[in-house]
Amino acid sequence: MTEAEAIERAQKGDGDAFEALYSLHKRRVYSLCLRMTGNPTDAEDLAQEAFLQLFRKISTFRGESAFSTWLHRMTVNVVLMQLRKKSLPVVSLDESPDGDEEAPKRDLGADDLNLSGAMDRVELNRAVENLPPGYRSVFVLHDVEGFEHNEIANMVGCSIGNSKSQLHKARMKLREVLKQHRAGKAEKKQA
Amino acid sequence: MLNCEQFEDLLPEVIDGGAWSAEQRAHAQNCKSCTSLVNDLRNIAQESKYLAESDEPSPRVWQELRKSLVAEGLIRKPAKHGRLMDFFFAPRWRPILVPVGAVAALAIVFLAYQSDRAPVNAPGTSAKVGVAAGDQSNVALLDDEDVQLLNQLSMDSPAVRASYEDSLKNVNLYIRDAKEVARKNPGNDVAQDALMQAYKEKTMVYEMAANRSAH
Repeated sequence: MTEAEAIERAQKGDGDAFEALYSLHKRRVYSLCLRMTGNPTDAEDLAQEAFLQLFRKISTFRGESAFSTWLHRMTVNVVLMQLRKKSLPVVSLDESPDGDEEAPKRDLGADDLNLSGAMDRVELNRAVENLPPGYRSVFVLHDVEGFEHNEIANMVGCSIGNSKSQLHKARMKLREVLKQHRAGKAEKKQA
Repeated sequence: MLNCEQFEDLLPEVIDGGAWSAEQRAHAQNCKSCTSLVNDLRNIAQESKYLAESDEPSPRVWQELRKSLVAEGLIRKPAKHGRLMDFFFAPRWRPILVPVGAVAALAIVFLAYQSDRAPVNAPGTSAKVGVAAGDQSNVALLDDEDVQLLNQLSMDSPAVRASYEDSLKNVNLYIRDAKEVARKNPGNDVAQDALMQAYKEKTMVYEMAANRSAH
């Protein structure tokens, strides 16, 4: 069953079609929820809610935009709503790049350990999950999900400049964590 | 000439495709540390795209979601109906539906006649072939004629009977839903057509059963 067929059949109330649509998109939706919340149980609840909201409106879907785009926007909205309900910072409250204590500072005199080459995705995944919530949302929306800064600014309610700044800090934080991890591995090898 | 701190401060504006100034380019060309920083940040951005579909939710999510969809009436019919209807009422079969319907009607009359002669619901057999006592959902989904037909079929094999029982329950459910929709939308041709098709599907089931008996 193609996605278009599944949508048409789901609009008529066909249970198999709903399941087919769910199966096509479940990994993407769940992964997005997991990255944004950092909590598997919350992520499952939110993924369920996102699909439910979408399926409630499926009869109105006419194919003007891609189904996946529609679904991902809805998922982001569901997650952001939940983060706001829980009073978790969607973006860091700090608007100024200089005033944030969590932003990692580069040791300009030190030798850089280049991260190019095969990056450990498990470690990257872990590092993303451990990002401060305020950085994580913008990072996930931009680098993982591919939204543009103007879209993110609209969704999370910040300025475009703030979105860029948060993203930069998130990447710097990740770089620091990944370098520490790589240095730790190198030390172990030597020992 | 920019120093490293100034270079880094300007980086968020340009790293994802913004226009680099001559000063930024000059600094990047001459500073190994800042070149390495730019490469690392781009590498992180690149690799992060692979996290988009890296996790699988537990089966619980679909189970709960399905329950909600059924409860809210968004899943309105089991998929079986769709497949049966798609098969029987595909455009290629339409020219033969009327004669087949007529034959099926005759088959129903024949079965009714046969059932009068058969020991339907004889003492000691009703528990095996009839509808289980107390199962109200089954009672609601099978009418007297259906039960008679199933009793006939159970003489062939329990498996055949079970298969026809499923088909009859499904088609009766479909008729019930179609009736409800038609009742709520009296002037709606699509609803009337769906009801007609539901009855035709039931006729088909009876026809298949009659063909079995004939062989």
